[in-house]
Amino acid sequence: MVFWFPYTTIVLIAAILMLYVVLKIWWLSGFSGIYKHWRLVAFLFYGISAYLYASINHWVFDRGSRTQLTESLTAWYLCLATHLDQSECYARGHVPGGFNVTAYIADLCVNLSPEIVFAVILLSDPEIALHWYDSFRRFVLRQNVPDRWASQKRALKLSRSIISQDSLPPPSSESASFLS
Amino acid sequence: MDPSTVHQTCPPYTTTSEFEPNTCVAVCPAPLMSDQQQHVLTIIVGVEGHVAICCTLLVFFAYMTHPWKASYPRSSVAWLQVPLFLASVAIVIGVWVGWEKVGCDKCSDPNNGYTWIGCWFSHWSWCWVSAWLLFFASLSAAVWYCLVGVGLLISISTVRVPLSDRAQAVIFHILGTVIPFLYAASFGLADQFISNGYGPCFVSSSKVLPLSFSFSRCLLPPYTNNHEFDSIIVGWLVR
Repeated sequence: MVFWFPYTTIVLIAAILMLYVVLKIWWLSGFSGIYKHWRLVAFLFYGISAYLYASINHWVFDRGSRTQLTESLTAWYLCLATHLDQSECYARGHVPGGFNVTAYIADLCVNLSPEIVFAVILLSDPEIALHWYDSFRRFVLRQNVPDRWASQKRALKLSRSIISQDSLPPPSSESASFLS
Repeated sequence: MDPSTVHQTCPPYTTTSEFEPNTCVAVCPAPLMSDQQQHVLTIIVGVEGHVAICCTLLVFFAYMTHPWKASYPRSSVAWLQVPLFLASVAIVIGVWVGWEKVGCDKCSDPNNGYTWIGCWFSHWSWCWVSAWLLFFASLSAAVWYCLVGVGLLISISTVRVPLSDRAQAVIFHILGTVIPFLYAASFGLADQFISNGYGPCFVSSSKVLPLSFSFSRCLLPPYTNNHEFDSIIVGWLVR
């Protein structure tokens, strides 16, 4: 409980936030916006799915199976302790009805999967590859490469100065450049 | 007869307890998995875990060296990779040092005779280290994921937070790293991490001690009494 209650609460808050973000994008720019920001949507969808899976797996399956596991293990140990012919108590590593190894390994796989999926989604962004390509040309080949993001940096700087002066709303183009 | 020559006999798959005389405890790791299943676990966690570690490092490096994505709030995605990296390491530790070393060290036994963090100070405990890392990193990752959502929300909404980007970034780091660290540290000091007899160790509420009580009561008043992740091994004591 000391872990799973705050964890589940935070994940649920994240799910609501992400759902709101996706709905807002859909509301502002329709399905074309969702399609355009597919990386963002995939990032949100997979992250939430994996984290919710971990929570649901704990609350629904893991907690319930623990009692059953303890009981079957106790019965197994008692069997071993009381039977001279221990073949009756099955071979080592086989606790009857005790432990769902497949579910356990699947849970570990899901826990490790967001890192990989996030990397696939985030690194598929051509901006990353373009930056590495520019850096290679700039620092290894010693070529004179113009700053690809100079105009974006200038626009952001300008919008910040306007906000700080007049408290005007910022340009809505920022969402497009958050993950994509 | 010399009393020192009397040896206690324990039932199969149990052994004499190191901490309580004349008692038998279940062997560790628990025979929940066959050798083949343990090999499968090691291979899957080893391969997927190392790929995950490389992925988190790559994304962090890619974002932090990018002129555009390294700035707040886009950098939240990169900072999310730090707890994800730590969580992957916590799981992969079992592959590096062996599941038996992680799950069966002295400090993984809830009846190890030590209080607070004393066992970890006296014996290096992979169980304690991996469990603490997993606890902190998982919680921190969830908070950072939430903060990515908050960053997105700030980006697409017309409402502006009346703070500089630097101040907002600092708040994000306090929420995403410092608070989960303190929360996890309170349970770590109380030495509440135990083995399940297999796989990575995790937190046990059955060893609630005053520090974690007082700290967690500030955050989660009604919930700290409940048992969660109780040690399976505790229930197997065969006297």
